[in-house]
Amino acid sequence: MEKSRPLWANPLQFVFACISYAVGLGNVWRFPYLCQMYGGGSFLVPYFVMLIVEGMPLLYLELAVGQRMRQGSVGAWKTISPYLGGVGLASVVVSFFLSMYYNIINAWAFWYLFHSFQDPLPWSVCPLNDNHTGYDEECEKASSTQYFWYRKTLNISPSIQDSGHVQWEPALCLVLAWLVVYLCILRGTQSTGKVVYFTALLPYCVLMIYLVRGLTLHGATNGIAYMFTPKLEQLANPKAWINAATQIFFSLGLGFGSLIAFASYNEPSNNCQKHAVIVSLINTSTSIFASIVTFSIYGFKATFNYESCLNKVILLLTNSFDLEDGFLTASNLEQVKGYLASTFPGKYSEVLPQMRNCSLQSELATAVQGTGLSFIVYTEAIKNMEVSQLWSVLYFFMLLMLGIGSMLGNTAAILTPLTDSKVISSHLPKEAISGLVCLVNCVIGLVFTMESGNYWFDIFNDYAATLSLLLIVLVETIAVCYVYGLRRFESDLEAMTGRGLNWYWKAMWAGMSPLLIVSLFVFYLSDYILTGTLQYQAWDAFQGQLVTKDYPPYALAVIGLLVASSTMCIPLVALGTFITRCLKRGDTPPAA
Amino acid sequence: MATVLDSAHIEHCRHRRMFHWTAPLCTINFESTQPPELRADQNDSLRGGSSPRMFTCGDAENAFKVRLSIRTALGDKAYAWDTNEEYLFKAMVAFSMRKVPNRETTEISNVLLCNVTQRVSFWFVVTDPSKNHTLPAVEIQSAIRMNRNRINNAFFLNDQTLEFLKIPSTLAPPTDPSMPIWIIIFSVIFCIVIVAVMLLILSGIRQRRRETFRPLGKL
Repeated sequence: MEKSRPLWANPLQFVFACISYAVGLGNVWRFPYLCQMYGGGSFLVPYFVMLIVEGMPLLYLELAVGQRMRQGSVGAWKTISPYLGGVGLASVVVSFFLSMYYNIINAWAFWYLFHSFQDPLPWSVCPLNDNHTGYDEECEKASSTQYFWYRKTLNISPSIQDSGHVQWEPALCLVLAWLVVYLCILRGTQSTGKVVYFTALLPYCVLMIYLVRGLTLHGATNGIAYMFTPKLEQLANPKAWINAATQIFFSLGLGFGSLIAFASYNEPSNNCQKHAVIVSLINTSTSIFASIVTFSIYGFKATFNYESCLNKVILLLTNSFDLEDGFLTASNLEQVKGYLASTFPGKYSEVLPQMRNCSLQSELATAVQGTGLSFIVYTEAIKNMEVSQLWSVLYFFMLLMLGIGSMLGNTAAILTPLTDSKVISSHLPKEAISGLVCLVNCVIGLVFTMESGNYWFDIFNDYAATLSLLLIVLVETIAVCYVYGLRRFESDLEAMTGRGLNWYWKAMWAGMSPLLIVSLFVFYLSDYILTGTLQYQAWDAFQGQLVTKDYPPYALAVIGLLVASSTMCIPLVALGTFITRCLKRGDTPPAA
Repeated sequence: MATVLDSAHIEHCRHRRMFHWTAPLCTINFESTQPPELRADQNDSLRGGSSPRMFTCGDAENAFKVRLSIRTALGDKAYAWDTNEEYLFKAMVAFSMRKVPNRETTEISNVLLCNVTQRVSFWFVVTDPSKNHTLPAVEIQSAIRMNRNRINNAFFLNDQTLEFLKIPSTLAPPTDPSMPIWIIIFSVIFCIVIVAVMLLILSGIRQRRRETFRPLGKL
């Protein structure tokens, strides 16, 4: 008699687990960027359309599959069709890649969190050079926040070929990050169920505090006006729609197997339709909420930089023309410049090359996403706030909660199939399996702490999950609708939850969503093929800025391997099952 | 160079009147325009005996330009730069030179200021007691660097608002604690997490041992 499957203590834990998994770093650092690039307020239109057409149906599908099959991704898809165990395996492989590189972000968040307890903040001042006569050269050319990120945190090498050695400081933080994750998943749903209360709720507390602080900052309204001013012509841009679809897709975390894993611990009678709608709506509103906070901070930073730039010009003119201190202000600057240009053209033309053109618009238009947003732009804004240590601690604590919440889902996707499998769970207890998974991931993750680690991180971030996930979800939808049969699935759900299936879900699952995914897939493939060689951004220490370089052949091979290893699982396992079945039956396999 | 500066500040005073700026400084200097060459202490040349100095102190090789940003530093509490403040400045420079060991005593009269502009900026030189030549720049530089803090404090300014243009200020070395703070916090959290992991594992093992001794039905 096998042990009964562990369950969530109450449905709220399940909802919080899904929320803390879905609401992750992408909501904070990718959505505001997309909003800015694709028309501000008008980006919300394609975003909502895609949410209703693609996000909610697919989320409901995954939750329903998990709750019905009551197994992790591998077992669930094997039950749907024996040839489709490869889909589950592909999900596990992608989750494995994801958890390998995702936890380094938590390690960086720990690093910044620990460094926030100093006065002044270490990224607010440049260190002195060797003979104490000036500041470090790299720091002068870049900015102090960029210097702290690229030199002190990453100690980045000039290109991906120069691997350098493992940096012990980020390595220690990575070990700590994995220990924290292990602590949370150690006891399965027992421990995870308690942790998700914190990882789901605390980020909202911090976001609220930041919202109030952000809106009261000087210049915040500039940023918010800039973001929400709709640029309606972007609605006609197909890239806006494609990016909206992609963002919904990845933001909800579809296809990794985590949602199936979480739902498999549900009571069979759980109303997962309601939960699917709730989770997707909360995810969307969190994205918008985080964008408001981000843009008020952007506005503050842009206004601060604009005013500093003006002050520099004022100081330059005051010193060159020996004007009275305090005479030149921002309001009379243009007039006085005109006057000086006409009266002293020779001297003015000498000074002119050193004067920068200060523009608030160009400061606001610097759109950043990803780690650059969190660790460079946000830290630059935080260092200029009062009591910056407090804001810094709050911010990185929030990043940690978001990151760990997502890691719980990632590791659940790997562990649930492992603990479900009789072979493994009969030999090893749950704690040992979790420990092994964490240990293997930690050791491989040390690659990202090398000097070239950030370049490998970018490779994993851009290529490990994108194409594979689209394929996985496409096969999932087709499998449920056409292989298992939509009617059969509908009657299963009715028997399980006692509620019928709305026509809307059926229409979306059978028609709209697969079409959308196919078009996304075609778009990405053609994009990869058309761009030709792949390039990356490398940090040049001498110039103090990023430069574009080509990937060396072995990096391209790794990219190919990443994509192939997950996508090939599906046909390979199907083929393998087919062959073993034919061998069992004793027939010779028909010619392919 | 001196001519350009003077006409610049004259023009700019006129210009300011156009904008109705009512600061007293402009008016004072406007009335006291003097040729920059001999803007030295009148008393000195009257003291008889010494030949009048015929060097333009702005061109003298051992001259230093000084720039003050009083309004930036003090805002509303900014004081006006007048001849009394200049006297204090000369006194501070003389004081710095006196502190150099093995030197002849420098008097305030040996410090000459000229080209005082609206900014406020001016040039100064330090002559030797015989007033024939100026002291080498290197000595003045090191003397001022030694006493920079006291000079700054006398005027309620700091290194950025009282600038000596050819004398670099020694930047404060970063305070490096013997043990970086982040390691302390890291160790604390690390130990807490390890202890918690151990506790959970041990309680899990104990629970499992209890299960094997009692039949499953009880749970």
